[in-house]
Amino acid sequence: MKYVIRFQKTGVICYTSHLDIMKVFKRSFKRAGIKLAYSQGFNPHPKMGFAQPLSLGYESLDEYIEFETAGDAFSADEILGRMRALMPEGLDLLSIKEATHNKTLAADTVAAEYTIEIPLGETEKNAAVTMEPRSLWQSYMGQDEIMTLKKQKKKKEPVLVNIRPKIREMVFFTSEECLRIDAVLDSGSDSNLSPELVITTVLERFGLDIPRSEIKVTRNKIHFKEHLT
Amino acid sequence: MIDRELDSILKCVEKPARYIGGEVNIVRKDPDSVDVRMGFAFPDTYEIGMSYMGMQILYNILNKNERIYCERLFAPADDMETIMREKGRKLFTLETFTPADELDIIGFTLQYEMAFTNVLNMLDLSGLLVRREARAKASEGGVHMPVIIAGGPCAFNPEPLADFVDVFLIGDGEELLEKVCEAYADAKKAAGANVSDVRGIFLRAIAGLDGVYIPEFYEVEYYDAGEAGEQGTIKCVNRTAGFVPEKVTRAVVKDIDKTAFPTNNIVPFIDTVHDRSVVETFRGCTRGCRFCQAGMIYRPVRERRPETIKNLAMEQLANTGHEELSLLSLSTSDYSEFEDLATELMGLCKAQNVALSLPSLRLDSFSFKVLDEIQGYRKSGLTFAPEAGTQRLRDVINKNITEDDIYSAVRQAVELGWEHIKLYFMIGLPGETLEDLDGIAEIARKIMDINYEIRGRKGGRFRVTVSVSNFVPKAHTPFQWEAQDRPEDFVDKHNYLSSRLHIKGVTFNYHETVTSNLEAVFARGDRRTGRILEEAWKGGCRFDAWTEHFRPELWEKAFETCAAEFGFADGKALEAFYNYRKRSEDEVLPWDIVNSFIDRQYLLDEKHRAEEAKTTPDCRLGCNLCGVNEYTECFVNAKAGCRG
Ligand code: SF4
Repeated sequence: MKYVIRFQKTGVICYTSHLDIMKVFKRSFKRAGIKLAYSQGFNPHPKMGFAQPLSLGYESLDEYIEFETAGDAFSADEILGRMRALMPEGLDLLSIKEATHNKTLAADTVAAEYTIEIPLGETEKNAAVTMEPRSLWQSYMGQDEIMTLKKQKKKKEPVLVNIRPKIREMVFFTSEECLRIDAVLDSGSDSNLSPELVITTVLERFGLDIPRSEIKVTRNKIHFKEHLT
Repeated sequence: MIDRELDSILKCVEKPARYIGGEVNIVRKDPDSVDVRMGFAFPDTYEIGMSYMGMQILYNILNKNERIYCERLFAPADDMETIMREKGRKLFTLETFTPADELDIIGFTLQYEMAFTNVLNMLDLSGLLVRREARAKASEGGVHMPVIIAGGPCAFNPEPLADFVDVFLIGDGEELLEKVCEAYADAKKAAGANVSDVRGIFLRAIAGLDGVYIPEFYEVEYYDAGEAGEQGTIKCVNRTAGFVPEKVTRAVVKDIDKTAFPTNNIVPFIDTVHDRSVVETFRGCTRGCRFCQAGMIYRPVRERRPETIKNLAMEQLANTGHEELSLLSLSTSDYSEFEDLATELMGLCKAQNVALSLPSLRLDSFSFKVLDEIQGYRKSGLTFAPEAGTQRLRDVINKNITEDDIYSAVRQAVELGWEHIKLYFMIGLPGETLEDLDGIAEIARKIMDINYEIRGRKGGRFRVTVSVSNFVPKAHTPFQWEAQDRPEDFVDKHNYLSSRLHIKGVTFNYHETVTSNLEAVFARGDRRTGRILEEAWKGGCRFDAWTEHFRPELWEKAFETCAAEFGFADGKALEAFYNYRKRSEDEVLPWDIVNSFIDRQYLLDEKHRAEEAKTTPDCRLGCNLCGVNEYTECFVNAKAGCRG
């Protein structure tokens, strides 16, 4: 049987990598007595995977793990109940669904919604307050091209890329303490944009000098092409 | 929840998950609901500390007690340390992010000497004064100061840390540590509003317990130049309080089968050195290798019953979801019912898709069968530890393994398809000659020859790795009086071996020389060596066990500074005093304060037998009167008079 569990990853646990969390799930299935189906071949591994990896330090309100059980010893609800009891703090399992799709969730992912929160220091406050959210949007999204350096997987030298076409939507909110951006970005194997590049270019555009460590990123939603939408 | 500052710190450091706790099976308690809060401190990184079973054992025992909350502390890596110091952030527990200086007790486990600078650094990062006396004064003045305790094998020579640690716990910790924590809770109650009295009441209450050493109640006198004893050696140790024992008798758990062992171990998020289920099968060793401290200080042999072991293993696997199970002891195959146990565990593991790992097997036909089954086609290297290159030197160190044993095992191994043999030797052993070094090369060459003989002239992908470590004389062993090789001797020997081991298919590895010499200073150091430690730490030394962090020039400077203080010509002379000097048999040794149960006369007899290259048989076959059974029963739940 194939299932998809939707879950959240919030709090300090966001400092674990998605591989660490994969291990937590794998061991939890084992502890819960839920047998997973294994791939064939020389080095068999359990059939499970996330829709999208989540970067270290990001929280998420909308994560998906799909897996295939060997046999049907437990109902979907039983699986959810057993797994819930074993999750470490910060991993909250929201719901379970039997899956009917053939494509993997990863292959079906097309975009993701993020909230980026940039706290403002004394100097930045003034700068940002002078601009209305609309004009912030104009100034950033109005650019024909948004060029930035992107690290390449294999090559050492970063290359200059235009990220503008990969930004689907963007909304700015300003308050006394914080510049908040809600953005829908391409995500998945066809076209992918990391919120990190949005952060760099936003800071650059508005001349903000905020250390990356002060900025918080949350993934709010994953968009799929066919399933679960 | 963590605060914003910590949150942003975690975004700046490598492997932030080292500092967040929250792992599966972590213990959560309301700190206000307990009487005493303890921080179990491992003076190295999270990844190393979490692989150490002793921490899990004691964490489990302490937290079962409603009066106690035991949390964990590790040494932050240098990127984290830098930021913590910049922001004035104190070392915090992983369970509740409590600053360490707010705890009642901080307990360090001392597994290796090269972590000692990390102990000082962790105290400092906790916002505490590193010197015991200074903390005691502050606490008398009513300032809250955690009591610093320390245990583990290095506590068997507590003196190098005696000026920094309030209380040492020597021997098995399972029963003692809980008693000590409870005594602290009681002392808090007794002192009531007079918080400055807690420390005094507590120390008095535990002073009489076996295993408790409170250094502030002992004063050490040293011989000056011109006196009867050698200058710098210990003249006498005086007690300054009547309620402390003259010698501290080590704590012992009589029956480990009845002693709690964890079944819901904390499962780390990140990869650690070992991330697997582990069950201790027995404690102690009867082989009597003369260089081995563990073989002496963990006596006598006490076993867990096979049923207990199986249950613990299965429960642990069920509660952790681990993919691997391993057994813990000083030599796996010496367990009385080893063959039955191994066979059963193999079956149980196979049924659950769990890998079984059996370290340090004695290589007989049964072991080959087991290894073949558990490793299948993925055979890892086969390990032998002859320790010395000739039969004569192996007799000196009482390492009971012959070349015939090795060669016949290698022959079988090659026939069964093994392609990698790992050999472990020690150099600088007492009485070593060039012939013994030649012997090392000889063994490697013969093993290659056996492979050619069986696999043909090309020999396949077969290889031999020779790893050589430097002998470090340890307290409470028959070699505690011996001189260590000087760094230049080690270097010469490494070079010599290097040239001898230019054999096709043979790889040669050796250990950092200076580290071994330093380790030796603290393994047998007196109380004054704490000053060297303090200087080195102030200079910036930490993580000395890590090659990339080790700073020999800072250590050299520390020795120079202290040489003048102690009345030695220079740093080299000071090092020579601690390391390169054969001690006379009537010298008072710094660790004589500890009664390890092993009779001094037995150690001397063993030393003399070593000098004559005479072996002493395994005491499973007949008692050698080492003295342990005057204090506790040998072979509880084990079979004596035979081997496994
Ligand atoms: S008392 Fe005898 S049997 Fe017991 S550990 Fe010592 S030598 Fe071995």
